[in-house]
Amino acid sequence: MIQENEIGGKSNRALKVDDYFVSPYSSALVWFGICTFLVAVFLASQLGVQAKFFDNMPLEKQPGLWSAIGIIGMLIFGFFQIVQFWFHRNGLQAPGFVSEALIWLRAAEYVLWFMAYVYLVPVVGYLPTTIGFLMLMTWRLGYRHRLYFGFAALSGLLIVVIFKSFLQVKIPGGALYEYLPDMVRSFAILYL
Amino acid sequence: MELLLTSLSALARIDVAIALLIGSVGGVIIGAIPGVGPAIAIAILLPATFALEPIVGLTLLLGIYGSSMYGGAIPAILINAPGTAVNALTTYDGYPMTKRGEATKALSLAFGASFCGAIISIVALMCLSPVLAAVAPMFGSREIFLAALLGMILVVVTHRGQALAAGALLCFGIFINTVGLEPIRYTQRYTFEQAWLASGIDLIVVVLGLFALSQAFLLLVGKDEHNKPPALVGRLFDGLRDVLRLPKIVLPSAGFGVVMGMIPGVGEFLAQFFSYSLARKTSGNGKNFGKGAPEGLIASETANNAVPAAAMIPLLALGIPGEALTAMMLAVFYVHNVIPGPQLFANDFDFILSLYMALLILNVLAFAFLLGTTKWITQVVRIPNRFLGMVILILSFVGVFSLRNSIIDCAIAAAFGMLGLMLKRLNLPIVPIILGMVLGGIMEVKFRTSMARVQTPFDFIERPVAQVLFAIIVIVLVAHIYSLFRAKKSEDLEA
Repeated sequence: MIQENEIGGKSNRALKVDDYFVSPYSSALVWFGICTFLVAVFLASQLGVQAKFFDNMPLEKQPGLWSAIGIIGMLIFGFFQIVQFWFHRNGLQAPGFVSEALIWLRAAEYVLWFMAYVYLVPVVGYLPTTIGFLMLMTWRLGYRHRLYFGFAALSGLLIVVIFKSFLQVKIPGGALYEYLPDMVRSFAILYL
Repeated sequence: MELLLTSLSALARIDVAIALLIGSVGGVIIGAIPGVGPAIAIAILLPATFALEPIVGLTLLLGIYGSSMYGGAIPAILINAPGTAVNALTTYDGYPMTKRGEATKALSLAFGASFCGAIISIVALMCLSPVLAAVAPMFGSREIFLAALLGMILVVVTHRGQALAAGALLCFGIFINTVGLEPIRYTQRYTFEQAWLASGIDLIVVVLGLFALSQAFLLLVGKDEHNKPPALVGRLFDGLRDVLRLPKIVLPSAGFGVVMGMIPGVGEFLAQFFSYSLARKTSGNGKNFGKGAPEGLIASETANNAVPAAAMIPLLALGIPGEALTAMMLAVFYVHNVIPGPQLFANDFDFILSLYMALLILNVLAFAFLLGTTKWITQVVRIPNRFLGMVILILSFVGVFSLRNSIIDCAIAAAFGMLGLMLKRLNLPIVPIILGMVLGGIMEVKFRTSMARVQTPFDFIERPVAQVLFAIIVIVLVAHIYSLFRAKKSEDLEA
């Protein structure tokens, strides 16, 4: 939530564009900048190997030209970003790198949930997996009231009906649907 | 007139009507939910629109884009949390009005201003279209290359105080776009002999990761906020009448929206910012700005809703998206083999007019929908953030997996989701990556085709339009360096 109109109101000073764009320098930001710069250095070391440059070929047709432009740009901007960090090293603000990295790690748990869901849909089927996952995640997130489980199941059903049954997006029927009775099977594969 | 009727007849279809209705109503609701926003909704819906005809798919996406800002004003005004990023300035005067017990008045002014901004913008662009149709064919490969370059430069310089990070991320986007098999000698670029990288990294996978999955992760690791919107009493229609009584605020604000929307890489925020600053100086009520001044609210809402129609101009006329949402829409064109650019203006002008008519209709629909349902829509702010994150996570799957049923695409999207989370947590911009990918791809192709006819570097800017674009690029760079110099000087003086 935005804090009490600190920019336009109470301080009554002129509004500046920088007020919205400038982020406070934190040690997490510095580490992020250094890591991305190192990635750019690694990519640059692969120029010529991973992106080819041929002799006697005009510059505009060189396969590696635009990869090189991207990487060199990352190196230049990244280098000056680190220089800028250096000049602001005394004004570093929270969050620190460790506390921020822990939040990133917490998010990694949901990457696993997402990938598990991705793996299970083609096996179990879109509708059962979606409803099952939403119910399970509702429980994982700490909601215990029956209303939340009801909303989770309803959301799952609506998602499947809108996207697969109505909009016909390309999501394959679950392998387990093959074991359903003949009459239901084709319907389940096409719409659920 | 005949052209207008032809374009209207293209919309007189049941599927287009449904798309208009779902887009406008859906956009309002999505905009009203803090933490969702149009980018996420468009990213998720994008693959689903590939099966639809271009006019239907684009109408749906335009509906979400155009009407989400109406909805975004609701939480900005009622609970001080902007529904979309571009409603940030709306909180400055909208929320103090709510605290004074004027929530209904603030909402009605916001809706009225949004409606006026959108209509003025659409009418202006419809009148301007013949001029654009005449100018667009003057853009050849060199001019489009220079326009894309200008877009890139503007993306970097408009991220004030973050220009270095924006530049690095833009270049990262250019790099990602090159991964995979290149089309000249069919060599692999940065695939590290991995077969799954040979087809490259799909823009939609990146978009879904950076916008939708990252937001899901962000909401899931956060805390639930227990928002309770205040009860609304009174009529919402009166705001439109009050807004129309302030043409000195409305017209310049809409003008800022139109102009800023047309310039690639600038977008809603700066339009809103400049119109708010101007209104503060000219309204005669400047001292109350930030404390609940209706003029401030009107200025910011008029400007941000004037942008979507204008933002379609560089996309339709030149094939150059100015920001992330139009970059996503470009994918819809490509899927249907409709190549936006000068030829589209020359050959399918009725299609362009149809899109503008659709924008006009969906604004009327969104406005009418809000007048009747705002009291109920306000309740969406009660949805717990983490519950919302969970639903976005599941919805993101549809967008990624339905592209080509690839688990690897989902893994790539998840990786970009993590990157997006880090960028959002560190308050770094995401949009430059998307624009780097799209504009980088355009520039690569246009550079190759234009160099075939270029002997010396000066040949590149021998035509008038290219000269104008080159001059603008130089002016933007000089102005940016000058502003940096001035900022440093004032910083030194303050110290």
